[in-house]
Amino acid sequence: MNIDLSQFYQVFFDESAEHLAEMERIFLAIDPANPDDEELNAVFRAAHSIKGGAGTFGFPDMTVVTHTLETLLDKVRHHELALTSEMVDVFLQAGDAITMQLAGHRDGSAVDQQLIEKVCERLSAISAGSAASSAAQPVQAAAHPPSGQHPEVASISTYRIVFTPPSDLYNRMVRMEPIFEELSTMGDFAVTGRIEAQQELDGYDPTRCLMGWEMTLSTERPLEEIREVFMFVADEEELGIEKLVPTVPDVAATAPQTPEPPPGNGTIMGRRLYDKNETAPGAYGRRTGETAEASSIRVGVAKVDQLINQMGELVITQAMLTQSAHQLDPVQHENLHRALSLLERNTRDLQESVMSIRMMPINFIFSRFPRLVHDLADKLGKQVELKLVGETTELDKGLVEKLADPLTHLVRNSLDHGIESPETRRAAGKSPGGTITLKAAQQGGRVVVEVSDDGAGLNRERILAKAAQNGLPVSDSMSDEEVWQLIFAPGFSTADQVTDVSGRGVGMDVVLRNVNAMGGRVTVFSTQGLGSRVLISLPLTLAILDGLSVRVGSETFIVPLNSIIESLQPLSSDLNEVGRKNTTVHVRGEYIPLMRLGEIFSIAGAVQRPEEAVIMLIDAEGERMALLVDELLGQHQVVIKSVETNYRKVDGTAGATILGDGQVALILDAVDMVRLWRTQ
Amino acid sequence: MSIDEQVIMTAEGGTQEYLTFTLGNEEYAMDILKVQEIRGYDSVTHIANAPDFMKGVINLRGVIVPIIDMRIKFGLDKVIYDEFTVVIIINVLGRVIGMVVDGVSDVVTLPTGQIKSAPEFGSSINAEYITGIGTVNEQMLILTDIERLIGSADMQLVAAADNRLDIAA
Repeated sequence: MNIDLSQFYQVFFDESAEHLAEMERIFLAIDPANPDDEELNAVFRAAHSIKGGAGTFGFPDMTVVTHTLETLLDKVRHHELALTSEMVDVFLQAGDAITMQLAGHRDGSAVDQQLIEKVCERLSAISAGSAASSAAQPVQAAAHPPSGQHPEVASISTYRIVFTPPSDLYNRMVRMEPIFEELSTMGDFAVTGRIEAQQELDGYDPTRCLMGWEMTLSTERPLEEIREVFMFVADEEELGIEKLVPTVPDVAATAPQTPEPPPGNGTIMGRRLYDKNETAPGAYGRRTGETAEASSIRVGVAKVDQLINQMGELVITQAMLTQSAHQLDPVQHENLHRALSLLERNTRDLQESVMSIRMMPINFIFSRFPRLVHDLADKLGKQVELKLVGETTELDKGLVEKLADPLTHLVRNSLDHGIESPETRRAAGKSPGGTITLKAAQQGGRVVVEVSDDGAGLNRERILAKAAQNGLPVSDSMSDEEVWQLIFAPGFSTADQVTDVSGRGVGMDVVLRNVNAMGGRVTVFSTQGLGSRVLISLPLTLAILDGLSVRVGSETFIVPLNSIIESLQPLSSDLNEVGRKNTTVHVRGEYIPLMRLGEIFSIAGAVQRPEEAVIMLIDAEGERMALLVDELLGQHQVVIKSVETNYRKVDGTAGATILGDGQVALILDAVDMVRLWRTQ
Repeated sequence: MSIDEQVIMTAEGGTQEYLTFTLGNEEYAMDILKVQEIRGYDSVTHIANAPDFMKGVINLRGVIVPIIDMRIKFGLDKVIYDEFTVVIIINVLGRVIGMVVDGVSDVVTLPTGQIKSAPEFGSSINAEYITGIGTVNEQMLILTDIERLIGSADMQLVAAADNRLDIAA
């Protein structure tokens, strides 16, 4: 049978990457002194799945590494070997090696064979060391056949397999012959059929399966492999496998590296073998995993994007319909109006469902940081604890991916420049271990991601000195906020020496550029000696937002609903002139600066007297501003279209949208607009 | 004939097709392969704080397309928008851009050998963006390099490197 396996490679790559990520996550969380059996089993299964996949798809190099890893893991999970933090490090390295091989097969990137050999050697050394040292212990190490092909398997044992299928077995297109054939290749195999239910010939349905099978199999393969044969055929309850009295092992030898086989194999074999109870957690665990997998499907991102684009067009079409219908007499066309409001609701529901496809938890990127912090802290000789808060916060997939680089920069910066060495911390009266917190939370229509540390904070004097040295316009009277902005200048770094972690001055400007490109903003807070906080605020999604359309002169703009606090018509007694140009509005005891949208965007024909127009109170990232517009038109759901695709960013806006009448309207960005207003 | 073949033919000294358009009294021509479509002038959404030749943006089947008026850009006296005003939608530098001209006349085929190098003269379009002079029916055609023209800094269509420090804090 010749099947072109390459079409399945992508699935294998994706799944292996997931398994590797899972392994890494568990290793980083595990407590070597008191490992959780369930987690060890999960790691073992992940390694085993990768090995199986690699074997199937013909990547022998990956099989070798995963196999060595699996061997050691198997010992650990059977408590033949206590887990040590050294082992965890080696496991992590092995994970890296496999990741590298995977990348090699997938992208054709370079694979460092020496590193892989080194990892394998270390794994084997630990494995072998355990075999030698545990020889005297009651719980012993694995006995390997000399060939080394199945080192995790001890000896031949006989299993009694009872398979009682449901009567629709044949209807599921299952045939037993291939299964029997496969079992017979595993060892001595015998099968007898037995009739499960008596039935009269009258009304006998030949498509129903009324029989069961009883099999005996003597094999050196583990029970798990037998179960795998039945994987797609039998459910847990239909299959009974029990081990009969184990036969005497033929050969017992440790891994080739160990010259002497451990003595006293005979009695210990029983412990080594897979009995039902021992395998059970793993086996059941895997079943659950499979069910979860079956309930999701992999779909190309392009397809999802297409769906979202079409959704956007539908929203626009729906808006056009509504607009046309408004010109019709509501009494005469009552049915049409009712149907249209139903359409609007359905469109909104559909749109929410479609958007949710693209949403994914931010944990997708947060999960890479424990490893990064672990490794970097080791390298820098610092003690750092990483706290993750709000990992389940959901964000558009496109944003999540683009957020990875900026966050990595920020965490590295915190580690390298923020957190001090344990000695310095002690001297400053702090605990020797620093804390870096990664926090994500949804705030209105935005997601705020925060990277904070309890380190030294930004050094105002040093930043000012460095900025002056770089020829940036600075003065000592600048406010802290203005000083912190300086670190976003391209090529800016205050690091005394360039380390391979950071200090090359490519960092904060990249962070700023990437975040701005996503429609986000960066804010820095810092207190010297106590730490610093960097906030990244991002739009929840890039595609659709709720907005209020407003008119100024003959132009229409969209104001995002989440930045509007309230709208009001001011009395002339509430308006106060400040200076020659500025006006404030008095709203419930607060004096709020008034911005005229017509002035900001130089629109002719805008209403000049605020009393005759409408004032919208808007929230620009915590700052309240009043925005003067001529008229409020209505609330819409608008599809955000990029102006930058064919033009460039328009100051004060977050993009554009297409209105029901086919015209383009600019979407205002409250914060950017305030900035624009200030510079005018 | 595929585009590739056309390009090869041109390179071998074959012919190339041009779309001719008028700006004031001058007749210009641009590579027809850069033209996506020709349409009438519709109302645009104005963009604030943009140069005056940047008329605004339109919705072209769901895509936001900027419209520049070449007549304003090149300082022609008479700028009228009526039912005869033409917008050439061009596709250059990976962008779709509409340019308003006085009129579109013809599609002409010019043998490469017939194209003369342009002398330094005071046409509305800067000599920098002129690739040569052609003759059709004894009339002079000024061949423009539309891609360079659109990409030039004074068009302000492509955002300049953004190294400002005034981010929102």
